[in-house]
Amino acid sequence: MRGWKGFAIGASLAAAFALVWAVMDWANLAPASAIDLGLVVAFGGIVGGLIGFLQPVPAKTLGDSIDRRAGLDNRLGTALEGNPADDAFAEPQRADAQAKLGGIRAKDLFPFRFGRPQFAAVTLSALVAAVFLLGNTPLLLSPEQKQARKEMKAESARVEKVRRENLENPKDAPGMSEEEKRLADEMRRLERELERAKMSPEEAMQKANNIANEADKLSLKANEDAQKQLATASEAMEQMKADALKQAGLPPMPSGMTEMSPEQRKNAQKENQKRQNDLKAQMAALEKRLAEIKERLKSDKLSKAERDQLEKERAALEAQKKALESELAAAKKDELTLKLSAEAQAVFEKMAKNPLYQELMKLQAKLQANADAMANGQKPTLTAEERRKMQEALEAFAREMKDQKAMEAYLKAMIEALKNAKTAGNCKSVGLGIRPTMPGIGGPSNDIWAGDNKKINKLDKGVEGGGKTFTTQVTGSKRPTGESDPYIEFKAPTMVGNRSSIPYSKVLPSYKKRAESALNRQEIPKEYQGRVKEYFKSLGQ
Amino acid sequence: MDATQQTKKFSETFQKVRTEIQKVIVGQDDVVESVLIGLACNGHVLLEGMPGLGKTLLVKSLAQSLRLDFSRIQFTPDMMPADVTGTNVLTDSRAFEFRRGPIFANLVLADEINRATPKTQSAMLEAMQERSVTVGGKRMPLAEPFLVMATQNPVEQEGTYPLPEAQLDRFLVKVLVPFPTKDELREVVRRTTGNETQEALPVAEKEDVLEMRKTLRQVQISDEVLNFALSLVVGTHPTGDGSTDVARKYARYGASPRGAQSLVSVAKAQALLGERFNVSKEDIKRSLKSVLRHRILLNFEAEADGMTTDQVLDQVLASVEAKDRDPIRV
Repeated sequence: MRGWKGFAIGASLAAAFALVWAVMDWANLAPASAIDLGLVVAFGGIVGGLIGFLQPVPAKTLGDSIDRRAGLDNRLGTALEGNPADDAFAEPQRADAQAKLGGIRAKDLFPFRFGRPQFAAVTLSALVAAVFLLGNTPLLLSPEQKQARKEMKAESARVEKVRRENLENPKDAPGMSEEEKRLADEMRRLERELERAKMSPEEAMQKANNIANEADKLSLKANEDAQKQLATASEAMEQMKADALKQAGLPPMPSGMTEMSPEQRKNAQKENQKRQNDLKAQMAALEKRLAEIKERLKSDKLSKAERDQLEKERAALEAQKKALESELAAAKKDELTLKLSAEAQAVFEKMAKNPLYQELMKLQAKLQANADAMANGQKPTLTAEERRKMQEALEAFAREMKDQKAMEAYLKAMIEALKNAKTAGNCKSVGLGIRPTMPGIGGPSNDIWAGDNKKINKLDKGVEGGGKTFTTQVTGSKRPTGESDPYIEFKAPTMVGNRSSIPYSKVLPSYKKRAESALNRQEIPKEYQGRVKEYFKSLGQ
Repeated sequence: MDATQQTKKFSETFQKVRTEIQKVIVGQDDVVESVLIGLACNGHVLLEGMPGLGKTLLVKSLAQSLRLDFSRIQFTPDMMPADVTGTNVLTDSRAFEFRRGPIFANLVLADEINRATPKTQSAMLEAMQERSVTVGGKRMPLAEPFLVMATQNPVEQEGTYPLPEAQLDRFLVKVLVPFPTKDELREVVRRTTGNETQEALPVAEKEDVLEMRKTLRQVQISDEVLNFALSLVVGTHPTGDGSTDVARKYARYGASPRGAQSLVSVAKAQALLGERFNVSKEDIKRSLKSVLRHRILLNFEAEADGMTTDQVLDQVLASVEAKDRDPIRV
């Protein structure tokens, strides 16, 4: 019964809180959903019920209550206090109380009543529901507001679609990174707020842009990380090669040595021999001159000035000799390296024939291509399905090669790079996917990748956007060649509804300058150059 | 004898004596019960009612049914204390001999006690409290059991001396003797004017009374019930913690600690009559008016508003009951 009462009290308190929340929701100060409010009330009820249920009831209190309810004339309360050892009447009194208590059922004494706490809980809950429904009913809205709400709801569905396709795609592996989860949470919040349609189009757009910016930043960072991981993987691969040489008893090879053709190697050896011969000839000439100087210095007829001159020359020649010796040693070393490089190349060629190596190289190349494309603002070259397969392959290799340290490091770097590639791709998709979809900024686009200019700018005439903004879009390629632009920068619309989000005077000079620059670089087809000039001229006026 | 037998015997003895008295007294059940409870609780009874309602007959019948000594003192303004307690008289052998007064009986009917002077009242009430009489420096205990049943006329009359509060407090209960109903009156007239005369026969002994008193003391009372009783007593006070609004407005003095003792004692007797081993709140409520009505002194405002002590007690009870809620509220 205490649980029942506790439930009612808890639910009442929670409903009071929910009521305040619902009022704030109405006033658009703190958004709430029906589920949120219901959960608050239910949570309060459950907590209250648990507290009530777990709160101990002293036996004496219970006894007194039963006495009242069962009309036991205080028999039970007295029996609980009496001490049979001290009083002759205590024991029979207890027996009497027990006899009277025998036929009484607890549920008769403490029935589930609908008392004041329960009434309060129900009333407050009803109030919460009423306030929430009144605050969200479309009946009180004007036709324009209804239309705006409809658009917002549609946009909520779009944002959800983008989220599901890019961040919660079950085909995509590995699972979501922390950044993606955070982004997904933000998108869910935006979806809820759009669903409730209680904010202005400007606010909705601002929020969408914030998320898009955030997604872009995440994408950029993840791609940078992916590239770093690929560099790490390359280093690990070099280490693997060094290990292979070591195993074959060969010294480490300088870069490029192992990629020579036999012809190149032969030429290099010839070159080296020629170089050694030259060095030896120079060395002989030097030694001859040094011997002459040594002989002259033995003579007593030399003046002090002449002797100093000869000593100076000898020191210079000694230094040259040392340099030549060093150069000769290097040439000899190169000769040996060239000789060994053929063996090293054989080792590498053997390694390259390994199917595992080939597969890994292929994966690395794909990942690198993907990262490079992303860095250039292009569409990722890897699909979700490909990523998943790569992930599985890399993990399988990692399991097989876990004993090889260098291979393990390589695979680890590759897996990390893959994860970052996925995050980068998904975040970029999100950024591009939700940015142009907000109401009031023109016709929503179904395109995701800006690099594909055959899909964007597909409307011939100006269209009225879902909100109050007009956006003019034109078809055509940006360059006379028809090539797709590697990168298109998306900016928030300058005009939303009846007012501008960015002051006109602030953006015009920079856009004008960019247009002039494009004209100077001949990036704009001749037939359009006049129109561009006219356009900016009219804006300036 | 175990507790159950003791309780049963209490109830049986009480019932037998009551039945015997009811052979003689028509109606007045509450009065008879109050007198018997007074006897069981070792307390005295103050009766307030019109003359000729059978008070003397009641005490006489009670004495007969219990085989106890009975005496009656008709108080008058010229009565002296010695007329109550007794006095030393010079005998033929030129020695003083103590002649016992009417107080030396088991049951004493002090009729119209408020007609005696305060001096005589005081002597009577002192004997009631001390249960002994001191004459000529010699202390003489009174018989046991000892019960004084005093009557006073409710109508203000010439030559009356109202009992002071301290003396009223010595009565266990104050019983209002109502005028009999028409049916009861018919029966009274029929019995007293016909040929047949009913007399109470002895059905118990004084030892039975003493046994009843012993049993009564063993009745259990829980803290809850005791607190309730004390709340009622405290609630009659015009000041202090626990005083009630009605007492603050109408009471000059509230019930004394003796009032609390008496309330619990009478409630215990009620419990035994209900064949219970414990006192209930209902017992306390049932005993409330008879025990406390003569212990509360009302102020002028109460008199002006026409409030009686019973009405004040009703309101005190209502106030205390309002606070006495079920500890588990669902």
